[in-house]
Amino acid sequence: MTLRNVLFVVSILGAASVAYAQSAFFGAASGITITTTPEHPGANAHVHLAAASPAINLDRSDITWYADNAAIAQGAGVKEADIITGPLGSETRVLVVAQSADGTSVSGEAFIRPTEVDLLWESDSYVPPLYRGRALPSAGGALRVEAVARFETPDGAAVPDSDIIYTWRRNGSVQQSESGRGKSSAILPAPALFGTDTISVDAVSADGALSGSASASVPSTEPLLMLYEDHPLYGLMMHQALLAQTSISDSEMAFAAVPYFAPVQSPNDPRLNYAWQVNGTNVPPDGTQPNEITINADKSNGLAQVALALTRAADWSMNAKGVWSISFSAAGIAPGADPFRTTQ
Amino acid sequence: MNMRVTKTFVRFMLVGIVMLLVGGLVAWYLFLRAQVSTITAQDAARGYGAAAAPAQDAVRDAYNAIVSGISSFVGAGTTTVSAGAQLWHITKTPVAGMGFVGSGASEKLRFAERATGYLFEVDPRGGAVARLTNRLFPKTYEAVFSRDGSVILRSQDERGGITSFAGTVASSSSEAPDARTLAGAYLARGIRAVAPGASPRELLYLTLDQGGGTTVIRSLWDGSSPKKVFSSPLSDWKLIALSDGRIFLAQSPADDVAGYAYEIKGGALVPQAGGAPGLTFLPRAASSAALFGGSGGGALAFSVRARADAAPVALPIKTVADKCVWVPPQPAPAKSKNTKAAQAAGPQIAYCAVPQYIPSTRFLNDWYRGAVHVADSWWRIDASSGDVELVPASGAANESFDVEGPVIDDSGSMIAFMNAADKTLWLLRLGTDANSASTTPR
Repeated sequence: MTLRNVLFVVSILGAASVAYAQSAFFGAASGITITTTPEHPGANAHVHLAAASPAINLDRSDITWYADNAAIAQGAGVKEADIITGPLGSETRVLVVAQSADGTSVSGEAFIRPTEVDLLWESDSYVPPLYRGRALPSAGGALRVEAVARFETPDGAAVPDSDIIYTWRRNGSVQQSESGRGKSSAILPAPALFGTDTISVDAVSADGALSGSASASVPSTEPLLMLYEDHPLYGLMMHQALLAQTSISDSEMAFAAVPYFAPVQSPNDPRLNYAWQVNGTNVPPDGTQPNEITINADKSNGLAQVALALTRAADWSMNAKGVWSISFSAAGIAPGADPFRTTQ
Repeated sequence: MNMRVTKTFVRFMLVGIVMLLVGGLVAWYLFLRAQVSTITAQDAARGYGAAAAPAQDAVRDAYNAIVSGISSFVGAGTTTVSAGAQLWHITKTPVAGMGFVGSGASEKLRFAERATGYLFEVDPRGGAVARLTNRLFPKTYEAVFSRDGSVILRSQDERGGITSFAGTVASSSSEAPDARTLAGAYLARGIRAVAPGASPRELLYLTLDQGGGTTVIRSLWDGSSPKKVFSSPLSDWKLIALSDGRIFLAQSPADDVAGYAYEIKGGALVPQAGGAPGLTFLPRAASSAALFGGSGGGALAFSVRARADAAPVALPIKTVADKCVWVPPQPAPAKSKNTKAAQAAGPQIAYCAVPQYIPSTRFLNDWYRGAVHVADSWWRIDASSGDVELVPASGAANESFDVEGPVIDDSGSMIAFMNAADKTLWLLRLGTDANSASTTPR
């Protein structure tokens, strides 16, 4: 098992500790403040506890830690302890008692209630309708984000979204219009060109008893131009992207450019400007399908250097380019030949 | 005197008009010539030469394209092809999807041809291939089959929207086997994903909402009696429906991007996996076992979980869950009182196609875009022990395949899949003398 495999398993197992959260009440009034790491642990998660007190010197005190009335750590200057949280809906009462040499006794109390929050995101950028991958955000587009919160009461009932108050942040700035009670999803601007946004969400139950948070780093992606054959029988050959250098056993072929992750809803969006060049000569795009071009290699040496630049009106940040060197065979396909083998 | 002056004036006028006309015509000629030159240059850039191709060449090209695009089975009624090897390359032309129909000796493999949408039926044991339908559905990009042979044919309309036709093969005995029609109706436009439900006549699909979200709908196969199962403000979901009735949503994966997978239970999302970059996910029916793939940091990772309360075990193979199938739970012995428990406790075997070489550090993105392809080998995974074994396969020795969309029959003895490089149909027979023996794991 490689280190990467180990990390992947830990990632699956430990997702709760990365993105999930907890709720705790801290009892500083009695003299000791308890802090937890992580701040919002999930269910069945490891939690590190640390005590601090302005009232007495804990390093010179006898300290006892209790979890649900059972001692879990004890000794002089033991300011830290560890526990494992219970399942969702559980509550662990942590009590720490310190007694100094002069007999002064102080205590602190905390209640740890595990919660879980997943932060999911996607983009509204363009991908073909049957594309199986994620649409990635590019400048000028939008992000759709959703917080999936799992808050449970002690009786096992799930707290509905309508009873949870969500606060959305983008790079630390609260998104007021997207935040509020029941607002478990939001639409935010995509990161700027070459930028990375940190999206975070705080979730607190309406009664304040449960809380959690999650965050995600979302990088911007540059739109990517891919070229495919638009076959008269099979349609768009999305499974066979044209490589930078491609040989084709035919003398004429129609091609379609697909602007992956462009901030539009269609490759024929009127705001997109396709600038085609074939062997250095500008070719005006088709009026209705500007992302398509047909090339005939009859009466030529069969080499076509196809260049495409894609820009978007009033959007200086979008400038996708692609160049493909296509070698046509004037002989065409022999009867019975498999056209799918020709570009391999 | 005046008369003479007038005649001279008229003469000069006429000469002037003629000169203007001639000059205008010359200018018009020059203008048109410039335009023709521009158009010619653009046509030359496209490759259209000055001389038109002879008409017979155009006819020949169209004929060749059609001949090469249509399956050799078309019009032949029933064709028998070689079917002796463990690996069988069934079609030489692309298909849109496939599914097993029936069981036991009568089990057949149905598939839809991509160019025509015609349905074909393969006898996986005897090798006979027969065309079932003659209704044309050009450019069928995806076909999803029910256990009873019903099909959803998916294509794109002129506006780029997805169309979905829910069809059933007419069973009239008066019609020739290759002349049956595909009866059915179009479902709503723009359905994002479809999956057969737990019962043969049930369909699950994802529709896009106005605000960018999606709704999971359960309906009859023809789209009637729709019922909302779940709504999400997100749309990039993969819909997974198991034979035991459970429904899962997994975020569409991308390299280095955290993904989450959930089971829809009582209208809520129950987490299955989360936070792993490039997460691909495949749960098993009648148990809580699942396969997890990951793509992050330029490498693939793969794990299996035998039970919900068990830790995922990292496997020494590198692939994605899209290339895997679980052997279906086998019927429990008649004397077993707890059928569900017996099925869950049975062997939890999965088969995965594993790339012999990963050609990209962003494999998922590049593979989904058709920018890279791999040569796969089949591996057997025992979820309970975490053991993996290479599945030897004879036949098609000189051909490589990049497995996409594998489906397995009810008995777990055959896997049909498309080669992602050309969308042709393949069949792998399991449990034969040639491939039942295992080899040393990598």
